[in-house]
Amino acid sequence: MSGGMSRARASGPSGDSGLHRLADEDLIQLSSRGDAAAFQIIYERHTDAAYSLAYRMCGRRGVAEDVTQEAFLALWRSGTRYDRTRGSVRTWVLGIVHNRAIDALRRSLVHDRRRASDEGLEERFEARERTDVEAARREEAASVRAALDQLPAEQCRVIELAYFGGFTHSEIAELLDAPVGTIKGRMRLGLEKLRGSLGGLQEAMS
Amino acid sequence: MSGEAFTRAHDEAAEALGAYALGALPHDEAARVEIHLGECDRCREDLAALRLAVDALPSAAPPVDAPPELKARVMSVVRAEAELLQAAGEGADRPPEPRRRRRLGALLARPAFAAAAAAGLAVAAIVGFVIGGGADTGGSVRTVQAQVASVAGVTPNTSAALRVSDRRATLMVRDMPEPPAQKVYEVWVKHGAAAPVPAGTTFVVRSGDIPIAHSVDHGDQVMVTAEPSGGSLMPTSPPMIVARPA
Repeated sequence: MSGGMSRARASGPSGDSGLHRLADEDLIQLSSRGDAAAFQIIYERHTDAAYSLAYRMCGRRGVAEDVTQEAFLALWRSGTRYDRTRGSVRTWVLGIVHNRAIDALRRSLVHDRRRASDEGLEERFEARERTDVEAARREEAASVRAALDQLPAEQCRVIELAYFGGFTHSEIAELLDAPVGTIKGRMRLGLEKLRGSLGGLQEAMS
Repeated sequence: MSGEAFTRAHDEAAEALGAYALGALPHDEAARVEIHLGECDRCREDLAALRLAVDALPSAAPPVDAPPELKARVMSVVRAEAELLQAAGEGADRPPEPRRRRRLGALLARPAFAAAAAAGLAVAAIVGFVIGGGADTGGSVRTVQAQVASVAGVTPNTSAALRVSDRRATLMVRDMPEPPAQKVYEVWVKHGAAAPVPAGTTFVVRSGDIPIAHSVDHGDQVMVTAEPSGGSLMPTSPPMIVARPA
């Protein structure tokens, strides 16, 4: 962009070293006032986590890209709605991604959703490790996966089907041939145990 | 609510709280849980604890790099919208200090914009530049290219330009999409930081030269929005065209 667009703020990372030092919460404030450069830093910080979640849920790159794009544009257009008392920007971003991915899953066929929620992902490929922050996130991810693995299998299964597969409790009850009340009980118990075993990790993540 | 009814609602909500935190309840059941959450401190506390576990779940997704072209796609929409909204907002005539663009938040929050956003409308900016001659002589004819939002129906041939001669302006549109059903295009003139005023001009043609009834001064912006037939007194949708005479 040039000429009459000279009022546009520089948006490249190289020109905004000051912005890079700001916390997500401050960047969201700027972004909600139309600062594209501030938004870009939020995008760069969280896009891999957002895309990973979308890909884990949807199981296809194209759908995951659409979901991630929709989620970030929703965030750009609704930054004023972020409430820092309800969690970190990262949690908020991933919450939007999760909701969008569930919408996408519920539009698709059940057998696709089942495939996406199962362990076997066809196109899994590992992300590069680039920074200390990412290395820390790797550790954190390993801890969460370990905590999930420690759950009784039937509790882990219902949590994964609900969260990553986007299934409702009654759909899971049908899939697993178990009463709805049992499924609800496993979800609550599983989450309580997960919360317990994550313990201090939560503090470090927030 | 009687004690018995509260206990019944509490038991139902407590059982469903894990499913609620995971987003696995159908709407009607989720609505019942939410009503109970408004009345029960204990369930709210329990939910907050369960949510900490749910918030950790995205970390369990195997890490995958987002494709670089996704960033280019998202940022091209974001930059274009920032530019267009800035042009329509209070800060348009000021240096780029994001903290002063207060109207932008209000514009973003407007239902019409939210609806456009929900419909996934991308916005493309056409670089504005002076294409007419004589910009250095006060009373001459000046023509500027306008920015056009890339909503549905906009093609590479779509363009808009504004010709100003002695405060009289003509909007020249080419290959515009038809306005949405029951709507017309309405022209607005925005003087400085004031709210846009109706220019007394509406149109539905896709290509043509449209004389603007309102005078246009140096530094004014001319905008076009889609409005209900008959026009509006305030814009009710995001700008479709923005022109800033040099």
